[in-house]
Amino acid sequence: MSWSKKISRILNSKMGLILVLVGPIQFLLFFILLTPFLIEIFLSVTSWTPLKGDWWTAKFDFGLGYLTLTKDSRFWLALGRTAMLVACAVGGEFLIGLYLANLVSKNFRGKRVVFSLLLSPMFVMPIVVGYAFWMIFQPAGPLDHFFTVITGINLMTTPWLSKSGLAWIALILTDIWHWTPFMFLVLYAGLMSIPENPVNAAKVLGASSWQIFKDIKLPMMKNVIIIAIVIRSMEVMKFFDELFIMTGGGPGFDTETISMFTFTQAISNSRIAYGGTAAIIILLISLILVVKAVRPVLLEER
Amino acid sequence: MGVKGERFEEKLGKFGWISLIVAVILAIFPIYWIISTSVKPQIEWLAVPPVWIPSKLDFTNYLALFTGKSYAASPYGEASFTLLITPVQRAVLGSAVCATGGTLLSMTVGLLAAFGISRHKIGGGFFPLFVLSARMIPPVCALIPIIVLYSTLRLADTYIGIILAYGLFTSPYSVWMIRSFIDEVPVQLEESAMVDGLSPLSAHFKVTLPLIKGGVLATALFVAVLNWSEFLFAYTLSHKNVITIPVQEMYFQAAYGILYGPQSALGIIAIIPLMIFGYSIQKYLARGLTFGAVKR
Repeated sequence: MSWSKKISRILNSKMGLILVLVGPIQFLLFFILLTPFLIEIFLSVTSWTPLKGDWWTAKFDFGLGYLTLTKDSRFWLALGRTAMLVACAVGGEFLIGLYLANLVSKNFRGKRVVFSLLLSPMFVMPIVVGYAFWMIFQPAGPLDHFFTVITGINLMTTPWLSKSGLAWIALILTDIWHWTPFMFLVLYAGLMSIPENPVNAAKVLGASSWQIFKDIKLPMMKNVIIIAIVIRSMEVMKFFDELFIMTGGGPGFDTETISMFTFTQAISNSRIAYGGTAAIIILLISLILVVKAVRPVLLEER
Repeated sequence: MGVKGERFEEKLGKFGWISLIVAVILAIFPIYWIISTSVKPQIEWLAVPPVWIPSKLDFTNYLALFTGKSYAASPYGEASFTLLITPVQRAVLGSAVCATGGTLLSMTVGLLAAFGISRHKIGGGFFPLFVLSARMIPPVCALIPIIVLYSTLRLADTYIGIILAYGLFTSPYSVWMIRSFIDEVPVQLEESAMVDGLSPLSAHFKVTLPLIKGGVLATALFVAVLNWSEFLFAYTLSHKNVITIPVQEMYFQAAYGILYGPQSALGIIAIIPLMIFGYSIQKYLARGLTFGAVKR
């Protein structure tokens, strides 16, 4: 038997297939996800910083980091803020996206162009989105000028990004701008996959377009709506780039989310172990969400 | 997903038109603002009131990015210090290398794993979900121990290190998206090919792969968009040797913050490939963004 045949037979055996097909990704997952994760668990129960020598020599500190974290109001505030960001941004994106999807599903000229233009925010990379909105929200920037002209009141020095409440609104608006296209796109796909018969039947029976939307289209889109909201919520939890370039978590730490908190602790303050402790908690929260929310949603579709 | 009209046959009313026009203006305006700032001369960057339409098309900002230029800190000449733009070729190159490498890696492992999951059910229901978790956890959580690991293995500040991370963290998209394309090809095609003497692997690559190559290409572009846009890993895992465009943009912001023109010009350079790729895979976007759950 020739060598090539032998190799082919080994590759196509049960073990060979597993090795060839999922071996490479298993290696990556093991090397860049699992190993770091174990290191992180280890570090989270130490008080290691890069100044204390090699990390594997770090001493066990009986979970002091976790205790400190539960008492760290900054962490809890960041967690609450993240939850609020998910609620406000995803809520806003969903409502606007649904409204636009419904409008675009109607008949009009130039639909293709409008559709494409509405998608464009999604194609801008987060750091550039952050920079664009940083410019827009500057005092005496375009937004201030617009409001001044519209209202006739001098609003030219509104401190959008340096006042805590306003900075928070600015960040939520930025995320809504960036990702409403996602909601629009997915919900539009859902709207387009509704069979025409029930809609036409309702129309014949004299239902108004609002009734058709509320009682027929919306219930039929239920799955798509859940998918869109779950995926978007998971993504918003990762909100970082725009925040980093626009406020850096400031003023003070009034716009800090969990990602920003962890980053600040671990990278800016070099408290890697403490950041790792926070990261473990966040990981647990997101894994619970994946198992409870994402898995049923994505598996149900198959 | 294609844009189809003539469904439900409902006309768009006047109020609908106004809403759509407002929405389009809002969607376009920030992009317009970067474009217009990128062609403004320095005196118009910070003018009060802001300059809504640049007085002329001035490409010195773009030129400055590639040849280097020193700007007076104040366009009115009161300040004595200058702001120096260092050329950004290295950042463009870095972005290209990292995005290409990361995409190739992600697509290679993703394509193989997608066949394993879709055709052989390797790892049952758990394995795909485990892959997915790489995308679902906040990247900053994975980042911290990766920094520690990379500095131990001397992978910090290398292309290899960044490409490995990009490959892994976009693989959930490549696996789930390609898997959804494979699932749509009837398995009987491969079975009959195997009756004719093809091995399982050859059946995957000679029968199914040609049928889904459009989808695979779309997936590659989708993943490339994600890798090209990535900021956090590039920013923290590299210091000197590897610089990407988003990192360069952040350096400008951190160092000066007021180089509106060149910074906007770099932003435009950064998003041109994204726009081209994004629009060219428009009909696969919904599928990609939802990990294959929404098919059209």
